[in-house]
Amino acid sequence: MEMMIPMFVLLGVGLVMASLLAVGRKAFSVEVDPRQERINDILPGVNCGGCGYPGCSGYACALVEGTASPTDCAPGGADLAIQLGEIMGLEIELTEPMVALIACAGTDTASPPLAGYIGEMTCGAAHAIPGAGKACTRGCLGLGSCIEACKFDAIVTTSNGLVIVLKEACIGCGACVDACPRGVIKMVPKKETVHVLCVNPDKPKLVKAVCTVGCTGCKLCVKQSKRFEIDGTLAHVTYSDDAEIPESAALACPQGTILDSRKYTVAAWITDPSARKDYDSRSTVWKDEEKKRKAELKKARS
Amino acid sequence: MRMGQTGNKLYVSSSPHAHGGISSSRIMWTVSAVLVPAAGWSVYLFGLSALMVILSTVIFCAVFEALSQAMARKPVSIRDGSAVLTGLILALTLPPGLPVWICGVGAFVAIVVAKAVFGGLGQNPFNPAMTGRVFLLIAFPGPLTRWLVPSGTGETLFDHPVSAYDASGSLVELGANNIDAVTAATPLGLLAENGAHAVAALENSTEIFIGQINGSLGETSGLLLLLGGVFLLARKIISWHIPISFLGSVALFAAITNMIDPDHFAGITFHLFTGGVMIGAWFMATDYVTSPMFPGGKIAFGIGCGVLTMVIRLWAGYPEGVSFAVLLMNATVPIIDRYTRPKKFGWKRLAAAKGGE
Amino acid sequence: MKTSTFEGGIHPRYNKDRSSGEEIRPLPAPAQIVIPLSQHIGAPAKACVKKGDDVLMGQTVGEPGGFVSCPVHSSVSGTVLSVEPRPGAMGAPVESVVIENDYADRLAPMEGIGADWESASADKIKDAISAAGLVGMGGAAFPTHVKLSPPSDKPIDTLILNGAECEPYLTADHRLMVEHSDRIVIGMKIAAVALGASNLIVAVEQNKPDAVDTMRKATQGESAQVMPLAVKYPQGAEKQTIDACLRRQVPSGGLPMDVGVVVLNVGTAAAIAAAVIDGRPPLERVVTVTGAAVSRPSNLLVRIGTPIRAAIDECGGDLKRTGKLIMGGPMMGFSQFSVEPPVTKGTSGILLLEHKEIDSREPDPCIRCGRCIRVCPMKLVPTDIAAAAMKGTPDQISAADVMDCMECGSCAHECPSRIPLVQQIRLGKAAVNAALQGKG
Repeated sequence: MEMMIPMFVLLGVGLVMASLLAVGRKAFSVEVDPRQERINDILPGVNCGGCGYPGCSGYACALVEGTASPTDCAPGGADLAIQLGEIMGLEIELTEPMVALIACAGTDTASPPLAGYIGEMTCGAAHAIPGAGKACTRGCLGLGSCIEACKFDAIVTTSNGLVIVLKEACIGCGACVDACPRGVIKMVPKKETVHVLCVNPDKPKLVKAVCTVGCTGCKLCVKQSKRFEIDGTLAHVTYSDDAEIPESAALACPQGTILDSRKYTVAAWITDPSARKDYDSRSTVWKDEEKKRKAELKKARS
Repeated sequence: MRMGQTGNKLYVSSSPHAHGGISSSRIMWTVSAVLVPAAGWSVYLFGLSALMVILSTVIFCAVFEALSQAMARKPVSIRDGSAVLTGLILALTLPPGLPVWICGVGAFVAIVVAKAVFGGLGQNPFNPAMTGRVFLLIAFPGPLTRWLVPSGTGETLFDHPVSAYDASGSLVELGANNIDAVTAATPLGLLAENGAHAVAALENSTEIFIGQINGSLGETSGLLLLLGGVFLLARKIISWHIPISFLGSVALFAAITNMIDPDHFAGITFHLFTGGVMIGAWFMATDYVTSPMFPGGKIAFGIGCGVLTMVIRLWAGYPEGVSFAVLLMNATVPIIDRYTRPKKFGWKRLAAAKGGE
Repeated sequence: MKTSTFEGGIHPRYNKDRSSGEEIRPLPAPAQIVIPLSQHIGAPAKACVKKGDDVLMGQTVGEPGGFVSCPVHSSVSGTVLSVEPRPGAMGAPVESVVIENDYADRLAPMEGIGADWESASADKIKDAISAAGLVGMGGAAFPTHVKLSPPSDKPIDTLILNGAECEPYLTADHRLMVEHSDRIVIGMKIAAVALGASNLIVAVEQNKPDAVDTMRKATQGESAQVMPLAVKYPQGAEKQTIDACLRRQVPSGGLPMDVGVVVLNVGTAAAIAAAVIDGRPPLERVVTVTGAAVSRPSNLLVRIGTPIRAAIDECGGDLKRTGKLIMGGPMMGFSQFSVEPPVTKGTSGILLLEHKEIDSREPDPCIRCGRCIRVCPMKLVPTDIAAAAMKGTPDQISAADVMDCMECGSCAHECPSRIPLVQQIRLGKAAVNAALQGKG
């Protein structure tokens, strides 16, 4: 009998507590939009922050409040956007899936460092020290602050002082763009295959002084395709129309700044010297042709 | 830390471009070296049984450090001396003749449980060596309270016939290599059991000062520990705040209680030089990682350690309380740091100016 | 000798005896000089010459771009080769005027107030200083005329001449005090007239007894008082000098004028004398060239705009042995990656450290030893600021008092774990400033 007393006491305490909890849940319950819970359930739950809200639940809340758009979730992609649109009762205009692009081909042989650097090994820290990193003060530092920022392991370092985006793993959240102190990373449509791998806006002379593969704004690519535009002395690809960029465009670039990923993967283009050699030989052929053509033109004029 | 080519190239970095030269590993090795005389003294007193404890904890600590760092895929940094120092301090808190495997368990708790799982050096909230010792004390109370009588001092260490006491009240022989060894209660044990009159003769004897008493390895020589602590103080490796406030509060507590009831409570010298107060105040409470960073906080921490030690010694179940006191105070460090942050340069007028607005 | 000092601080290896006994000697002007348009804190000057122009020595080649700005002058006579970005004193390219020296040293007409400056008005003195483009010559290069123009609600009672020169290695101010104490004292008196300050103090660190003596002699019969200060870094930092001399603490976020004090470097004082009496802008300055890789450490009188290469060659600097080339001192100087940058008004030293002196060990984790807290002259908690800077939000960073840090480097110098605290704190400052700009 004595054994039973503590058992009953404990049982009683448990019952009292349980009823308190039940009452508390009723009394202090917070009204949540049922849609928010449904949205929360289908969101990827990676909390990448790419939408600009604090985590996935923050995004769900913003969606319900109407401040966010169903297409803002990059990891979820088109499928999720459609589902979210259904829940919210909205028409969805699907946006182009984007990926990050490291717009720099300046390996540490192309743009060799002017000095050694000792200190905090983050891009932001090295960027603030003149002379740290490669000769080019505009290009990729290769210290991988974007890798830290990427929640999807979609960015890796190469062995020669650059980082590259793994297109298949990148979900286009754009976290790396903010992490780069030099603005080297751009968001580009996933389907695009031709890119100008340089962001250095300096004068051609300065660019050539610091990097062998920097864009000098020579406009030769513009002659190959209307999709190229020159901004000052820096070329870039425009995404307003879908016209196919001819393979000759990349070949035309005397600096080897333009990557044609139909021919080469980014990794091959940046890390494999043989890919470049292949390109180089072709570009010299092209240069000879250009010279010949110019000579002919001159002749014709005179 | 380095990037770019070496050779004749220039290096760039943020200022400052000069460094004072002190390094964490030099600090650790210096503290370890300072503890060597005290450890040596214990070997002189207790012979091989002490040496075995020291060697086994140091080696186990180093091995566990290397293993845990390798498992966490971190660079193995046993050369920085922090694991060796932990091992040495742990050894000095253990009784001589402790079986090697128990030393190993203590080292495991100290290095892996108390340090590595929190993220390694600099991240642990509790003093690793203290955690190890307290774990052993609770898990193996028997072996941890079996104190050998120092050799060469005879079985009657004190004037009172007390040498034969231990937990069970009889002489215990430990193994074949310790045939002559005799165990006895520590002075603090006596105090707890029998009151101050039992240790009255010790009060002003040179024995407790030099360390010819029984106890754990590092509890014996108060003098050597004191000298070591003063050396660290002179080299500015530790600051005066923690040891002085720790020792001061122990002394004050002892003086007051002794004054109230000298029959029951022992005096200042006894409390300062027995048990772990010396090693605790100079080497354990001053552990950088687990003690407050600001001067005011250090004093509060030291006083807390001293008072808790005395409370445990005089009224709690254990005869000795240094390790518990230090661990308890470790838990308060974040709060102490928060409330003892010094005022920054130029705060005064700023506050006045704001008030005027 | 009774000395005053501040709380905190460190005792680095000073290495001053390499060059402290070397008399100041002029460095011949180079064939080409590069005058950066921004040699000061504040808005850069605007170039007022163009390619092909003939310029005279002392002629203004850049006009101030605002109130907190300074004109710049040609330090040689010759022809303007170009106006283009060139490597500046901090390593990054700065818009500069490049001038080819014709070695004629044809002086531009200069008009000073003359010897009767004592009867000149404060405004006239300030105008002369402003026109000469004077900046603080201790290193920070803050425009002097701005310093001498405190708002009327902040009366200045004390002028402190800072001859502490607490940066290790540097001896430029030391030699200036020993050799040109008379000019310094005249400059101090002129500045005192401009400020209306009656209490004049010359603060010198005790490790320069000869400078203390000469300054004492030079100020004999004057109201000025020479105060020997304890040898401790950063004793020469403005706020710490004021604290040591007057026991006044400049409030956080405030300026020395908030406690009624203006601090001028001794070199600035000497330049004030030339600017006000002769109307001569600072065309040259004393630069200490020193370090283990320099065979003849010297104190050179260098024309502004001289590439540091010329000074290094003159003193037998061996670039092959050099691991770090620093403009300024080892504690707060800027590491350089080339020998092209020119000497500017704020360049107090050129330091060549050998490879073996460079510390490139991996940082260890923080062991909370508290050394950085003990030595911080601003009584900050560098570990907290650095931790916030690396992981926190801009709000958290500024809550750690990042803006009170003057980047003296004491914390990083003492850190046993060799954590690049100053670099991390700078990053934190940048993040806070960026956030402020974003809001504004």
